[in-house]
Amino acid sequence: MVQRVLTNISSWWASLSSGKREGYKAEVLFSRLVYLWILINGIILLPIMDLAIGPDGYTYRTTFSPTLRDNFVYMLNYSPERYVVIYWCMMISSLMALLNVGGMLVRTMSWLSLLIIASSTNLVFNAGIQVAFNWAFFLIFLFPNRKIDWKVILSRLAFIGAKIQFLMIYFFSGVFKLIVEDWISGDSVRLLSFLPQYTPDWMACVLQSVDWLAITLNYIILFYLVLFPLLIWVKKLKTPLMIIGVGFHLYTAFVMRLYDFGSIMLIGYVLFLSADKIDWLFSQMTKLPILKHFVLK
Amino acid sequence: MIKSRLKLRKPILKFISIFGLIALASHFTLVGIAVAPYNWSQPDIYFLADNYLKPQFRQYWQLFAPVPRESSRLYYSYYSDGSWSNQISLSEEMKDLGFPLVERIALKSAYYLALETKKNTEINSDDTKNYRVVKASHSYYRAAFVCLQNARKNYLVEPDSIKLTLERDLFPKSGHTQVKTIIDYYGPESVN
Repeated sequence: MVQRVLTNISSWWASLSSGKREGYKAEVLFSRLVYLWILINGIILLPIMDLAIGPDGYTYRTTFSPTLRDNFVYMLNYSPERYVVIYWCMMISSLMALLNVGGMLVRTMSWLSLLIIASSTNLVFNAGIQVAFNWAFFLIFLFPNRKIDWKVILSRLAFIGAKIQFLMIYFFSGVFKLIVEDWISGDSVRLLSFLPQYTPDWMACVLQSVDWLAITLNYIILFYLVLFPLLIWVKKLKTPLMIIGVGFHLYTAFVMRLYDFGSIMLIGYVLFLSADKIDWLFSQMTKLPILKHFVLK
Repeated sequence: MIKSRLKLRKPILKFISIFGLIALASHFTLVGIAVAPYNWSQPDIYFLADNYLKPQFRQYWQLFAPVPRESSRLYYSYYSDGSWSNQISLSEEMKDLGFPLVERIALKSAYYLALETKKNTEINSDDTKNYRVVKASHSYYRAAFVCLQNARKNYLVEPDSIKLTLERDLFPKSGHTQVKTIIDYYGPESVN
């Protein structure tokens, strides 16, 4: 077992440092989906842009920070009149990154403008936007159209970074649940059902009347989150784990109405798809004429 | 010529790989320290990691831990031209705008204020409450600011003060269906 792990690590290292890459479709698909997510959420923000981040909006104005970094990131708290420029910078650079035009500069602009908007929209978006800007940072170093060796290495490292980020989200949200009594006692799903903002009436009825269902769901979620970072590497368990995860995030997106968080976490599953499943996805996507020309560009 | 260039390239690629892996490992070590439970690391190390993380990589993963035990609604009244307005429901006003994202603003303003209140309030067995100190908190000012903006937009006034009322439906652990509504009053507080 230990010998196998060591062999895998050494072959992975040889492959990484050689600057060669065989399959890269997962990276292409992942980066396109993240930029698509930014664009869709940007479009949703458009009609309420002045309310959310404009000078007459709800962003609470804070005083200047002593550090240059904070003043830059929280720019819209101090100078909300720049919101139109920042917003369109985010939209145009994300569109260009989606179409793989403009390189690292465009991807850096996409990350920075998303970060600035996220820092002023705490009351509008939820944790989904945090996942998005953390991934957008790694995507700066991901070159979907790789030909030069050092770019291949950077892309592979960026892809690993995005994977670790995803696993950390699961692991730490599981850890925090493990130290809270609600989750340990199996009561949390039932307690959540009393909050109308997260549970619609029909679901609340089910969860409050069927005790065992709420308790089972509680423990499935708890153990899923903590064990996912380990079990996802076991080939036999990968597919069932991903099916549970997709169901879990579809529920988060559509039933709990946290669609931004649910959808970005669903995108994260692309990181763990095997090469044959990615090939199948691509073959399905390229059947659509609109996607055919730029999916693999 | 080509062979010598290839030979040169190999160490450079190895260097990029090693440097990249070290950078990645350092980044995630600091992220791990900053997002882990506070008592997992020394305070000075936590401070260093937290300083690295915020604001450009900030993240919090205490999702529903603990599970919120209450549903809160925020009401406000404003003081303008020598009189107080009637109590206005912030969530109703936001709902009328017809955008789910704007509705979240009302929900989150109430939620953060309730969270701050919960930290500083102790409800005794005889339903009396220990005094809370939330007026100076960020969540209080943020909620008051949202209400102030609504008063300006919807009633075309420039209020001198905002009075907040937080209606909280509590779900005590024993007997889940029992709902206990607690109302907290904040203000009047000058908004300027």
